[in-house]
Order: sequence, then C-alpha cells, then structure tokens
Amino acid sequence: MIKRPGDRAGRHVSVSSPTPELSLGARTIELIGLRKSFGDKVVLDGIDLTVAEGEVLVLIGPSGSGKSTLLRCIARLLQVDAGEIRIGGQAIQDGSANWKRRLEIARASRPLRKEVGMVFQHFNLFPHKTVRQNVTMGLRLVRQMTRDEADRTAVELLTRMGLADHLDKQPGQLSGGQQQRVAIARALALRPHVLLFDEVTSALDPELVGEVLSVMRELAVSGMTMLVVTHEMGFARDVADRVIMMDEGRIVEEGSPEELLTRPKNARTQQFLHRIVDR
Amino acid sequence: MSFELHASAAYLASASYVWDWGSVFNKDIGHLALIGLKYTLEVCGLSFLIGSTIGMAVAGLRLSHTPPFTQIAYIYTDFFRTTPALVQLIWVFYVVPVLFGIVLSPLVSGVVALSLNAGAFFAEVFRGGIESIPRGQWDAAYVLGYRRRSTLARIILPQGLRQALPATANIFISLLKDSSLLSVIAVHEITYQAQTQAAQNFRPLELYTALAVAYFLLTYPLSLTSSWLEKRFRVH
Repeated sequence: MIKRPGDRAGRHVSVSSPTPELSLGARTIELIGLRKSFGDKVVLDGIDLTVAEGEVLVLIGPSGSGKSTLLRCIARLLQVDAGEIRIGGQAIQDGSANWKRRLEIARASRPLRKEVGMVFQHFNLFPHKTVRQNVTMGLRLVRQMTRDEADRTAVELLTRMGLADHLDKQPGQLSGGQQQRVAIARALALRPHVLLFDEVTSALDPELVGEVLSVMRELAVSGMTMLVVTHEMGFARDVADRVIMMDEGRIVEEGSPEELLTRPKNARTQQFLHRIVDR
Repeated sequence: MSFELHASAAYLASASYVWDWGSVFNKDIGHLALIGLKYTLEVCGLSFLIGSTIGMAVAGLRLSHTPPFTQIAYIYTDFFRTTPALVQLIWVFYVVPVLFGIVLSPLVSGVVALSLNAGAFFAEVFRGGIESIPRGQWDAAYVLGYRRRSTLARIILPQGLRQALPATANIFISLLKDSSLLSVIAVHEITYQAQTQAAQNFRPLELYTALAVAYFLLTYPLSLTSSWLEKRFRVH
C-alpha cells in the first residue's frame, strides 16, 4: 500500500531540505478509522491512511468530500470524533480517549506540533507584520532563535523564494502568489517534517498559480513529506507519489497518479475527473 | 441651575440683552476655569484609564466562553448600557455609603461611576475588535506552534485594538462630556464652576456660552483625530 519514495529522479535540495534532527520513520502519519461530523453531517466516515516519510500525497475529490477536514484534523485544528492520528508512531489525537487521556495526549504531543506545518487557501499571513516578521516571529517564539539567527534564516529562505525585494513590505502590498510564497516560507522556516497544503492555489489569479506550484515542486523534490489538497491535476500527475480520491468522507480510490488519473476504476473517480477536465 | 436659567431666558425675550463678556473674561473667573479644567481632565483621564482596564477584563470574560464568566460579563454590560450615567452617578454617591458603609468623596464617587459606565462601552468595543479578527489568524498561529498567550498578545490584540481605536476615541469624547454630570455632586469641574459663578454674577448667558465653547474646543480635535484614525485603519 505504501509506495516508498526516493525513486523519483533528480532529487536534489533546492528550496530547503527539512534536514531532520529526528526521523519520523516510514510511518510518518497514520490515520486509523477517523470519523468526524459537524452536527448531523458526517464529514469523515472512517479514514484509514498511512503516509511514509518523503511521500507526496495528493488528495482530490469534489468539494465537501472531507479533504480539507482531513488536513485540519492532522493539524489539530479540529478534534476527531473517533479514530486515531499518529505522527511518527505517537498519538496526537485519539477519538476514543476520555478527556483525561486527551489532555495527556495533547501535552505529550506538543513538541510534535511544530513538526506539522500547514499552508492555507487564504494565506492567513499576519497583516500587521512585515514579510520578514511573518517568518521571524515563529522562529523566535517556537524555535527560540536569537534575533540575528531568526533574521538570517528568514532572509535566506525568502530570498530563495524569490522575495528578496519584498522583505519589509506588508503582506497586503504583495500579489496573491507572492503572499502564498511568504506563507510557505513561514511554514518552512520551522523545519517541519510534514507540510499540509489546503487548496493553496484556489484563491489565486490563474496567472499566479504557476509560481506557487513551482515552489511546491521543488519542495517535493527536496524530500519533504507533503499532503496536498488540490484541483491542479497537472501537479498531481507530475509530482504526486500517490493520489487519493475522496468522496462523502471516504477514500474511494487510491493509486499512482498514472493509474488513478488516466485509468480510474471507480465510477465516482471517473465522473469527477470528467467534470474537472471538461471545465 | 434650571431656575435661574429660565428666569433669565424669559427676561431676555425682549432681545435687548446687553452682552457683557468682561464679566466672564477676567482674572478671577479665569482662575476658577483653570481649576475646573484640571478637575474635568483629571476625572476624564482617570475614568478612561480605569474604564479601559475594566473593559479589557470584561471583554476577556465575555470571550472566555466559560459559563459563569460570560454571564457575569453580559449582566455588567447590559446594566450599565441601559441605565443613564446620571442615575448611576447618583446611585454610587448616595446609595453605596448606605449599603456598604463606605463614604466616598464626590470626586472618587464620580470617577467610580464614570469608570464603570465607560467600562461597559469599552468592553463592547474591545470584544468587537477582537471578534473582527478572522479565524484564519488563530489557525495560522496555532499551526505554527504559538502558545495561546503569544497568539493573543502578538497576533490578535494588536490587530483587534487597532480596529477598536476610533471607537475608543469616541468613548473618550463621551467621557469628557459626561464629566459635566459630576457638577450635581459638587465636584469642582468646569460645569460646576460655571454654575456657581452664574449664581453669583447673574451672567449665565455669557458663562454657559463660554462653557459650551470650552467643551467644543476640548472635544473637536479629538473627534477629528477619531475620524482620521477611522480612515487610516479602515484599509485591509
């Protein structure tokens, strides 16, 4: 079921290698029987999934199929109703636990929080801070870097993202594509092992999508573990190790991009891909 | 106050009133006006400081989403926003000593009443400012591993308070005007000074006109500042 990564040609470090201080191992992320409802609406209906270190997983499916909810559960922005989420073998959420055990899990897994970064559809940059400060603040607060260290790291990272000319601007002065690259730099600065991308190009003007995708491609090549929710089928085809098709809170099909995108077996996948291509 | 004013208003109906500004702009009254101004600003400044502290605390209770605290905050803001400031002031001055056996000086009573009153408005303004910050800001900070305290101090409050700034300036203007209420419990602020002088020199028209102009000169620059702030921070 798990396709071991590392067989992608031309892996080289170009944006920022995670250079792991600790390795999370093959079972980087494990989802076991995840369930989540909002009121009467079941959003996740029993998700089982294992993601290996360095793997690039693309999640596709119609809106409302639970892709974003899945990412938000992994990022712990949402509590699961049932099932378990483990990172590097350690539980970070357990739906069957009582409140005491949940508190324990939350406390024990706090250091793991910074191992999972997330990039959002609407960037969620801090508008009252400059581009540079958006990146350094986390380094100072979470990685306890000195002012100089943080600044050096931020400038280096932002320069590699092609944002050297915009260091001291406010996010509001940048284009959507630039803002999203700042957001990626901000997440990347903390050196997470896993990056979650939640429809990060959906709010962008079409001509700005490419610059964000190319940063993500480089990241994938550098060996970052990535879970990507997207409607960009070209990206899925070129970059994904594995594609997951979700519908109504379930994984209905999974496979290599070639299998799933060109020869889908499931009727819903076929339907969905038709609609996307016909657009 | 009202009796003298009525009397002179009737007398003046003939429109042959001879204005005597010299009766107002002289050394003695200038001296009293300065004392009055000092009290007005003191009352206003203290109530602003104490009121905003209360407001911040109450906004915190309101947003804690923890049952007893949220209700307490509701009761407080609702009570002080639905009763007149004058009634609250009189209540603090006359009722508190009887109920609790604490005798407060007029000045302290006035500051307490105005602070409690302003606190309710501050609480609403701060709460609105904080709630106007999109959920995504919390999410982003959480995912970056910020603690709740850092998120509040560095992400939410700086933006929320900026949103609340124009409304805060308006509260200050209200406080400046409401401080005139303290004349009824004999705090020597400028309205009280004008009243007592009018009773002595029978020149209420000149005095109250000058008083109105004085309030205008105090509040107008603030009101300009407020609308400037509003324009400045509207962009997002």
